Amino acid sequence: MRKSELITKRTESHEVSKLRNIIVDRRAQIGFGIIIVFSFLALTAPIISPYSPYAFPSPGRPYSPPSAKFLLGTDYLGEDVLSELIYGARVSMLVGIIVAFLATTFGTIVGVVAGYYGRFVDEGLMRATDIVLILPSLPLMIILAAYLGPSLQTVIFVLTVTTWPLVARVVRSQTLSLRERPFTDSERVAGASDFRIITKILIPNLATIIAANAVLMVTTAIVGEAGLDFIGLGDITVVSWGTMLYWAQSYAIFNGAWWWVMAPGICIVLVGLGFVLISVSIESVFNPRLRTS
Amino acid sequence: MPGSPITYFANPHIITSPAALEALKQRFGLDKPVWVQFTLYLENLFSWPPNFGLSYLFYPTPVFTVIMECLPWTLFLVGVSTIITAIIGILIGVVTGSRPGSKLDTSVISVSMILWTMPFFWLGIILLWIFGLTFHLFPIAGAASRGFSASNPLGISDIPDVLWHAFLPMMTLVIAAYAGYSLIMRNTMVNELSQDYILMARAKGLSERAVLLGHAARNAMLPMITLIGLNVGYVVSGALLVEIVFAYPGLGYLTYRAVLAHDFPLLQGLFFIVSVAVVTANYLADLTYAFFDPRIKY
Amino acid sequence: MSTMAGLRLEPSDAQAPLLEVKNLSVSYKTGFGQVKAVDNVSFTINSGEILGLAGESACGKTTTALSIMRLHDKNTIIEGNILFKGKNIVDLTDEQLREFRWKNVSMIPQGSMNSLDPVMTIGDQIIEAIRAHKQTSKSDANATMERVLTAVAIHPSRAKNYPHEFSGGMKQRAVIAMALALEPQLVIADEPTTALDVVVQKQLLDLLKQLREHLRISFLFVTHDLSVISEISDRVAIMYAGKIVEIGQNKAVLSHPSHPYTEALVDSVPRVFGKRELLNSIPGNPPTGIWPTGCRFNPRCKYAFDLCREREPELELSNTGTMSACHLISHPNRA
Repeated sequence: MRKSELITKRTESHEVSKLRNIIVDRRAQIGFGIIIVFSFLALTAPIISPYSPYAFPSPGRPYSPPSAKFLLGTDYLGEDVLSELIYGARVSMLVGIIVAFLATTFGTIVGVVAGYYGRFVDEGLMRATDIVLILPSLPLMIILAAYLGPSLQTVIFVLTVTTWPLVARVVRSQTLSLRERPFTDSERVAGASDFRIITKILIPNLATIIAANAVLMVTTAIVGEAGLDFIGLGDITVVSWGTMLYWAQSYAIFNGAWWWVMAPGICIVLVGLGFVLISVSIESVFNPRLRTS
Repeated sequence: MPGSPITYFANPHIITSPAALEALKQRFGLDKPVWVQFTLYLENLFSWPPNFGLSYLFYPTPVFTVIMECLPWTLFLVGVSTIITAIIGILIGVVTGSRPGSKLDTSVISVSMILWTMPFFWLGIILLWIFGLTFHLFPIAGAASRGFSASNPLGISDIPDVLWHAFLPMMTLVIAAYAGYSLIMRNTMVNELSQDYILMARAKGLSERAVLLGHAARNAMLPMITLIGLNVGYVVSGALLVEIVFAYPGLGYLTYRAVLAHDFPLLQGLFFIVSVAVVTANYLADLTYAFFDPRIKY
Repeated sequence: MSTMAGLRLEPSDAQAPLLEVKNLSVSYKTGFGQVKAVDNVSFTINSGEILGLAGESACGKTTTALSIMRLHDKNTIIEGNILFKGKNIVDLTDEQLREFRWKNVSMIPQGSMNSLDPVMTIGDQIIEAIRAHKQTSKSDANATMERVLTAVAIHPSRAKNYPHEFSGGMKQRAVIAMALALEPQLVIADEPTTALDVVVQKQLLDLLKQLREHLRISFLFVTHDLSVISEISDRVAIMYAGKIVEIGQNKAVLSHPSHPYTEALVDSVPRVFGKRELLNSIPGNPPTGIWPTGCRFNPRCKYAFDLCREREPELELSNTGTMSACHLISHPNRA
């Protein structure tokens, strides 16, 4: 490095100051804000939502534009779009978070085991991930979902299956590099068991990468879920943002119901953005060169 | 298998006699033991032309024929849009990467992130609505204005019409996917510009343009080639969805119809072909990378 | 300042110096405030002369070297004057600066291994430097390129190789060839020998001496390796904590140091001959950013007395003819 060394000694630990940097970062704030709002909506849906999206008979006339009674208009059945949106948040966000959680957990385990134990274990595991990585995700998901039958569980399963290999790859390469560092060796010399090394050393160091990727994955999962619903592979009787678009695709355009199409899409974008912002913020705090401020 | 094709046909409204049912089973080879079916399946797969069986939806056309009629449209869509997306993404990446932190950079990143999180098909619907329906600038469905088929193929004179039809679907793909390249290119540029050889290039008295394009961008481009290969799967997935929105007669629209009709042979065939195509594209990307990076020997 | 005039009285060529650095200060803007890496540094280099600039890591020598070609980024503030053949480089516009670089002053940077673009052939990179400054034909540029490669003992047929196909020493020589392509008058060499083994080191030093002989090129030779500096320099400047503490003729500075820091540095070089003795090192660490009050070296100096902790010494003429910044010169009885 050509620059002079920095002067002041930091009085707080590395990690705490990094966490503080994330919280102070404008992007993370916006991201967290969005997520909190939507989570609130999702959790309090039955209370907050003006109508039930499954109401029969439907509260309004079909295809009515936004009005005081129906803030975002009605769909082809006359159901309130705003209510559908709020209830849809539950499904979409839940699916996103579950998928991200499952894929991250499974992928991390595979990645750490492969990276740490190396050789045959690594080879074998990586063949498995490669098979899934190489195949294009949507066709794979379609064919799996077509066989499994349309349902929420199918969607979750299929999304998880196509996402975990990427996590495994990333975690594995980080593990490989961490394994070669001196502090791992010193632990091993001191007699630490593999389990201890993995949990006490590798996981904390991998935490940032895992966190940044996991957050990003929620976005991909939500968009993926919308995509699968759109094709008709999700449970179309359940209201989610994806299924709203499934119905809207067929009926909204020729009935001029633009609100029905815009609303779920905007929500997907907003929530997706929220998670992306958080992820970007985490990444740039830990890699200062990528900063934009 | 759940959702067995026979249960579809075994709908009492269609087939009533058990004898007919039995005949159907034999016809599709579903009465033989599973492992025999599987061997037969593999045999068929690796012959030429690959025999994927007959499509239920387009009975009795072979699956392979059906797929081959639709494949060129998807290739066209994906191929051309990938090229345009890569070029635009790289250019934007070079410009923003050379001034990280500037107003231009932050606004481009913000816009890119918003566009990137938009679902492909939603963007397609919006574009379709605005430009196709409201302003009647572009057609809203199909690949060409007149009907066409294998016996009545499109000719050179149809090219402008074809391009007109392809414009909106391609725009959708480009807008939704460019950020994948521009964001990464930006970060790679920032990394390259902090390398020692850039300092050297500046010390040599080279113009800023020569430093940026001739040195930094050239090095930053290499990972992009790999990225194009990696993204092919993603673009293909997006293209499938976009085709549905625009009723574009490619593999995506075909898949949609196959799913609705539970046409399993067709779905299997589609999955196979698409996977082969993507794997091939990846392989080509690897070869291209080896060609451009003097440090790699193949 | 009056003491700076003393620099002109040196017994070298009577003609005007090639490079005059006057009161150069360089500050970096960091997240913690401004850090002054180079503090009021002045020196000259005459034509055909090799000035060695020595000091520990982070003493500011590389920063000084980079300033001469104004290679710092926008976050770095440069104060003072840098005169090359009478023209002030600090005042040059971007366009003039580009023209000035490489033609008059070129550089062999630290870590030359990484200074070559990995996806461009060696020959092309040299030709690029040539054609950026001269309107020559492709074949003329090619001929020049082959000439400079031969001058550093690289066969011209290797011009079509890529950097990763060269050994470390060859890469170093290739960078030198590139630095010579436009026949500059001054070459800044920043730690050119650090990453090389001693055999290649010697070859390199011999090469630099030859270049000085035949082409009358001046060198600013930056390094922390005292033995290399004593081997190659005509004059030597010692830097500590951003300031020059002693500057003068090679032998005068290194064989009869006037400044305690120079003395300690020279002492710490292990001797090959003579009896075995414990290695001498300088206790403590060099300061970074937060300077001690008074003389910056005083916490580690074995001669320090009360004045040293109060006032920063200025460069004064010592009894060996060097300029040295130490209170002992005017207070010899306190040693």
